[in-house]
Amino acid sequence: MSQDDRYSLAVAAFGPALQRLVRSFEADADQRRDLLQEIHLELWRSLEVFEEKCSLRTWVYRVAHNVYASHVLRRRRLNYAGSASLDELADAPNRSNPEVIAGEQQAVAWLHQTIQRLKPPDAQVMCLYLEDIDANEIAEIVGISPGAVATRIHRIKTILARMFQNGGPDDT
Amino acid sequence: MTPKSEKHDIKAIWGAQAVEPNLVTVERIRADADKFQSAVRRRNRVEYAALVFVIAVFGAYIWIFPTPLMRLGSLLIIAAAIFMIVRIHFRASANPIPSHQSFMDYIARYREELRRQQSALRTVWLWYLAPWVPGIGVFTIGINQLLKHMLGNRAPFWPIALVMVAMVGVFAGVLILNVGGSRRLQRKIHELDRLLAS
Repeated sequence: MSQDDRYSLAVAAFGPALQRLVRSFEADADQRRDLLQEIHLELWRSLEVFEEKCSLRTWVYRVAHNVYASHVLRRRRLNYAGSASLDELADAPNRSNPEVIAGEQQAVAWLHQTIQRLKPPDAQVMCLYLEDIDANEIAEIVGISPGAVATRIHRIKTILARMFQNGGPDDT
Repeated sequence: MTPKSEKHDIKAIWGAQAVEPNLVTVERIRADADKFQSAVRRRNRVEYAALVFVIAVFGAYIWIFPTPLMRLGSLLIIAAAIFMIVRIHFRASANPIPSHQSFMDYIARYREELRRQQSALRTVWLWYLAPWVPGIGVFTIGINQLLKHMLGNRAPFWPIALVMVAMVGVFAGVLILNVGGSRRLQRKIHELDRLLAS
């Protein structure tokens, strides 16, 4: 299979996931467009050396996450001081909030905002969890142990359960 | 309001987000890749051309100027230009960081690369400025010698002083810019250290 064929296959299978990922990681619309373009370019380039040592999906997500990292690092500093970890979000007191996540669009918007607030590895795990990728594959993509991924997923489930059972985002 | 059962199926909601049709074609990707490669090649060509120009000019000086010091200075400047060409060649053939490794491995390699670039900026005086100093110094002394030979004690010193001040100014400017760049890279490296430690 040629590089172009592999790229077309990857885009057909994971193009929508790449759009969701970019939406989660980049709030600015112009930056989002540039980032998606960069990901496609790097994906096509990288597929020249794809040897099926990992699944095409793992490969695509790795490239996308790494392009995102270098995109952020090139344009500005990682806003590390202002971001939160999953532990901080999960342990934060759940303030009562009259606002209810009333529809799917609101839920998705809240998820994007939450992912943008998280520190990079936590944001990636949450994004991949929402894409329904299992802990072992997330570990392969992010480069942390499956145990560390499982712990993070547990935290994510706590945050999501609290949010969608109690009916509103806390503003910690 | 969304029924509670639907709210719980958050992965389904996530996956059902509207996406735009993919308008990126393989042809466009190839064009973008070519554009990027052309820009890199153009930058390298401009740098090579400037250095070849320096070699040609100082090569001619070896024949034109009569004093041994000016000839020696020209030779040293040509040697510095050849050294720069070799450095550009190695920079151009450096391997990019593979983007298909895991995120944490990629970040670790990215950090190494930033550290390498920072080291290059910090030591710019050594590899970018110092190679020119012997040639420019000897050549300038040679000019002074030639002026004295031609004009005797009436030879003015100000042209030499002007060249020296201009060179010191250019060198100081390059140093200040590179120290600033090195500090910016250091801040990025700190950010990555915190990321890798988390």
